[in-house]
Order: sequence, then C-alpha cells, then structure tokens
Amino acid sequence: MTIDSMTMRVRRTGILIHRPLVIGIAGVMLAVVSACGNDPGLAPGYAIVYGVARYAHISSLRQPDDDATAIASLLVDQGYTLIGDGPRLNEAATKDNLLADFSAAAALAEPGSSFFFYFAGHGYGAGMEAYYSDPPFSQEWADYLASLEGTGATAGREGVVSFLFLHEADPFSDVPLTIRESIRTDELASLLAGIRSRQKIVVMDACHSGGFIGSDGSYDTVPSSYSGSSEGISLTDAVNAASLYLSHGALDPGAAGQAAAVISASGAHEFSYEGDWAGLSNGVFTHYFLQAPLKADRNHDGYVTVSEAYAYAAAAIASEINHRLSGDARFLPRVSGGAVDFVLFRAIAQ
Amino acid sequence: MVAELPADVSVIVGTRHAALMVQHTQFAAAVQPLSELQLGIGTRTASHPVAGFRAEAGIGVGHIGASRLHRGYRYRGLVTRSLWIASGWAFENGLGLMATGRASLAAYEMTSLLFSFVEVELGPCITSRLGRHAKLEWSVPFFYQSRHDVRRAMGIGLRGAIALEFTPP
Repeated sequence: MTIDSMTMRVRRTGILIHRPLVIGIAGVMLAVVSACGNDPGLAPGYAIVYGVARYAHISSLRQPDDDATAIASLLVDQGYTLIGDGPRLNEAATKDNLLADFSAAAALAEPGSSFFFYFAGHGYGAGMEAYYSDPPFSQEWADYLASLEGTGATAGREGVVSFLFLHEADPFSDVPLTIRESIRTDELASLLAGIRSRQKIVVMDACHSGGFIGSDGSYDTVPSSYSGSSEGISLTDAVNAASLYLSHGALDPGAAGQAAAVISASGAHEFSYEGDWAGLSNGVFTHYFLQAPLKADRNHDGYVTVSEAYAYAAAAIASEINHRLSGDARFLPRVSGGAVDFVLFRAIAQ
Repeated sequence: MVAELPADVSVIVGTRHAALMVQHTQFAAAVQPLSELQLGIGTRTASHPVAGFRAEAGIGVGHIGASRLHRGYRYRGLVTRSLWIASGWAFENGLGLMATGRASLAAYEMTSLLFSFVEVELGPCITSRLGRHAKLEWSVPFFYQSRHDVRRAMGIGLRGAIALEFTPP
C-alpha cells in the first residue's frame, strides 16, 4: 500500500541533467554488477495473521479462521516467523492484540527483513450501505463516515473509507465499539509505517478491501465495481492515467518507509466470497492465493512475487468463478502499483 | 551559389534497445532492458546539399523487462505506448545530432495498472544512404524518464531506423 495519508508528496519542478559520460559509465557499471548475479533469496520475515469467522455481534462466517490457519501454515513453511506464536482467530482477534502484535513486529523487524500481514473476515467500504438492509446501518454510523470525508481515511486510490472488522465490531448498534474494534484504512497505514522492514506485504480476504490500496500514482483500469464487461484499455483510461501524472507528485523520500504492497480480494465496492458454495474449502480468493507457490511462478525463476500471485488469483477467479456470478456480484482481486515487486514465496515444484 | 533543395517527406521505421537504470528511494538501483518499435513520419529541409534540419514524429510500442531479483525484490516490467517527436541536424552520409521528446503510457506487467511519464532523449546519429529513396540511421541516444514511481530512471541505448523518402514534385 503506497500511503498518501501520512505524508505530503513533493512535486518535482525540474529535471536532473547529468553529464552523458557519467550516465554512460554508471549504466555500464550497473550492468556489470547486475550481471554478476547472486541468490535473490527470500528475505527472512515476520507475519501477523488474523482470521475472524465467529463474530460477537454481527453475522458469523464459515471459513476465515480456516483461511488464516492455512495462510499461517504456508508462511511458516516459507520461513516466516509468526508474531503472537500463531494466527489470531475469532475471539483472539481483538484490537488490543492487534496493536500488541504490531508493536512486537516493530521491535523485531530489521530493515532487511520482510513483513506480511493477512486478514480474513468481514470488511466494509463506505458507500455500500444500500447492500446492508437487514439490519441497516445506523444514522450514527452514517454521520461518522461523513465526518471522515476529506481526511486521511479517504486517501486511498478509490477515495473510499474501508474497514476490517475484528471479533467485537458492531457497526449496526455500537459505533464507538466498532471504531475501537476495527481497522480503518489510515490506521493500518499508521501501523505499517512503524515497521522497519523495507518489504511490507498486506493481503486481505474481505469485502471492499480494495479501499485499502493507496493512491500510488497508478490508475486501475478495472472499475471499483467490476461486472465482467470491461476489457482492455479505453481512451478514457489513457486520459485518466495521463491526468494522474500531472496531478500526482513524484516519489517522496520521506514516504519510503511507509510503502507496502497490497493485494485485496476485491475492489472497494465489491464483495468477496466464501468458497463452500463453489466446493472450495477456503474463501474464494484465499483458495487461489494458497495455490500461488505451486502455480504462480510465471517466469519459472523459482520465486513467486506479489505481481505473480495476484495475476494468478485474478485470472483464476475471472475464469473459474465469475461466470457463476452475475452483474454486480462479480469481483476481481486488486493489487497496488509502484515500480518494485516483492518476492512472496519460494516456488514449490508440483 | 548553393542550390535550394526541396523538402523530403519520409516514413520511418525504427527500433530502440536500451539499458534503463532505475533507482527507487529505498532500494538499490537496477538495470532493466528496454526495447521499442517506432513508426513515424519525418521531413528534411536543406539549404545545403550535404546536411539539413530534420523533424520527425511518430508512435512507439515498447517493453521494459523486469530487473533481476535481488534480495527479495525486483523492478516490475512495463508495457509502453508512446508518442514522440524528434528534431535535429545531420549530414547526409555522416554525423548528426537528434533530440527527442516522448510521452508514454505504461502498464505494469501482470496488472491492470496504468501510469504515464515523459522522456527526453539526446544523442549522436550516423546516416547512410541506401539508395535514392532510402537511408539508414544509427544513433546512440541518452535518455531520461520523468517518472513519479521511481526516484530516477535514465539510460543509454542503440537505435536503428530506416527512412523511406519521397520528394514532393
């Protein structure tokens, strides 16, 4: 997640002109260094894994705790160290535990390490109230969302305030409790900013989790509510991408410690689904994400990166799941932009 | 007395291959291979029989390959579509200097994400006439990409192009 909410980006006003000879020599030197090669490896890392199927006050789900357990097992096999000695499931998925886990990670994670945060459970994105009518959201909740307009909470790519609900959240009846027992877009950004790892990866299997992807200077040609009909790049997409260049500042060195790569199961205005209706033992997105070490190594270099895992899951959902859904029910995972692609897993031979 | 030569109109097909050096704020620099196919039109006006001012414009279709993996990360590959304009001055069957400005639309590989950037290029060129209506041009362009997703992106490449010339009556 490239975070805009915590920093101001400095707009570049000029072009650095280097003497051609220096550029040429530097390019040759870097080519030599790159050609020497070394094992890219998988930087040793720490992980925080949360899965909430049982909720105290709202409808429970069936698979997120199993999803988190499976993800935790995969991460341990890949060499990650789990913070909290295991996934935080159901009643253990509280805000106090989350804050404690991130504090522990902040103390342990070295700059050369990787950090991985996974969440499976209920999610929410502002603007989706009409889809929740039984029970409906309260006026107090609507007023709270209105108070967040224009703040850092809406700084994501789609300008939507999004939430991940922990075990005690109760957005329909107790707004203060929900504010306390949920993770908001800017709150997660703030927690990640405290982690010193250069490589930070966030994966969320929750409805509307696309709202957590920051405004990273790239334009997503997949609309916030994918219906399966948009293919390719339109003239409007091209114009929007060009406009973004003019309005978005250059990379700010001060933001370097806050950027993270994010994969969300769905867009800010989309749902993500449990998988039992499709014969899957995990949530739909997590089911395919778990296959990434086996099937997503597109360039066969022995490693699966964020882009490769995302591309595999998105393609699988598009081809195997979305034809079973119609219209607004269709969804696609989303991924954050930025020039750097992190290694997620060592590929596993089938 | 120097003869006044008519302007030529040319169709240009070229290819550029380059090494792009990319630097992020918190990651080491890396080198990415760049390839581009260019199609354009150009014109040459000359008041001298062996040299002249040239102007060209066209489109480009390109690919920037992902960098090598290094310590758990690499730079993403890009697919690019560009509009470019170039001008310069060159001797026939000799040296010249060309400058190019380019506006590009880029997509990160394996994603649906678009961004754009502008690029400036400058380099010497050598022109060889292949016949009455064709000439071959080689150039070594140095270029700088003004991008918002990295701290710096610049490089050096080799460009080859064939120009098919038509002299208006």
